[in-house]
Amino acid sequence: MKRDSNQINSFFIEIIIVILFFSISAAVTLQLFVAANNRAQQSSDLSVAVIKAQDIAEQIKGISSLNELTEELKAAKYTSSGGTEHFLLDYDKQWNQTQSAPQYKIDIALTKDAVESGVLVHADILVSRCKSSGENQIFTLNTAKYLSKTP
Amino acid sequence: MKSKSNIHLSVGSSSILMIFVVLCLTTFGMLSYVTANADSKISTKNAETVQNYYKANQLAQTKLEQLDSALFTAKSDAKQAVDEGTCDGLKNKSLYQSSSEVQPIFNSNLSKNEKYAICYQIFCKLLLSKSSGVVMEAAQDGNDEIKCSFTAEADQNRQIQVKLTVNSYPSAERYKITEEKLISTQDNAADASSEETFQLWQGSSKAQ
Repeated sequence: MKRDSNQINSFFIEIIIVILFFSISAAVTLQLFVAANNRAQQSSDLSVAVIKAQDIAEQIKGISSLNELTEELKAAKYTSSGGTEHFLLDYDKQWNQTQSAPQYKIDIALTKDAVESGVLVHADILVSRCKSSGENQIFTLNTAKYLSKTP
Repeated sequence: MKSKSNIHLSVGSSSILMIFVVLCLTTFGMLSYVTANADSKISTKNAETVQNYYKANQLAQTKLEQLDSALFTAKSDAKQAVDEGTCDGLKNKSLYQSSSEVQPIFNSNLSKNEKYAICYQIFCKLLLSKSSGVVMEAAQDGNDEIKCSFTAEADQNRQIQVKLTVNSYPSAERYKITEEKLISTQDNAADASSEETFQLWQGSSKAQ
């Protein structure tokens, strides 16, 4: 009888130690999973941001006149400040264009340097993620397109 | 007879189970982190490559603007020089006068349009060869077209090469881009030496 109670006591002591050790290990491992998830999310965001920015850059590269706006920019919100034109595109969580509660934003700033022979259009594309604390910059792409003026 | 059912809670079994579970969790956690990290590295590398390419494209477009400005200047200078019969009133007169080909054109019996065309071609050559980074291509026999090329660095191993042809005088477009491509700047000889030849399977599985 005495032997049985001793065995049960030592079993419970072991269980307590095991639970304690397991909870510490689980906390550490959980942090590892959270870090992995964050890293995967960042990587996914960056990949899509690069594709979206590259798509817009290629459209700008393809324009042949100043009046010719790309399909993507036609649907964007337009603002102008200090000689720079801004085109804002809002996207939801699935990277579909949206008008309300955007998760991602693309800001395309077009600056035109006019010279006698033509116009050099600089395009700065900024992709950012909207957070409650503010906007988090994901990717920037700078490109330019020269449009020669013909008589 | 009274049947007795005993549950043996042996000491150490829970520890073994816990060690197994913790090992599993740690392994899967590490694996997922390593995979996510590798994906992130590839994404970052890709993003850098794209950024460098478009930076080079921006440089190339800026260079193109400079060259087009030079051609524009050459056009207006040629017109002014032929009309006035001298290069004295021009901004680049010292450069133009350094060429022995310019003065005989003014004194020749050619029509004004012919003089414009010849002057424009000479001025273009002079102004383009003065531009830094521009490589003039040698004219082929019987072809007076001016061809030149320039490069813009994308990164250590890649650059964008642009080749263009300058159109002759009456043409509305001053130049035409004939080639724009991304080229590798790695040493070709080093590539050739590291290249391995693989013996391809010829379609016969019989042992020789």
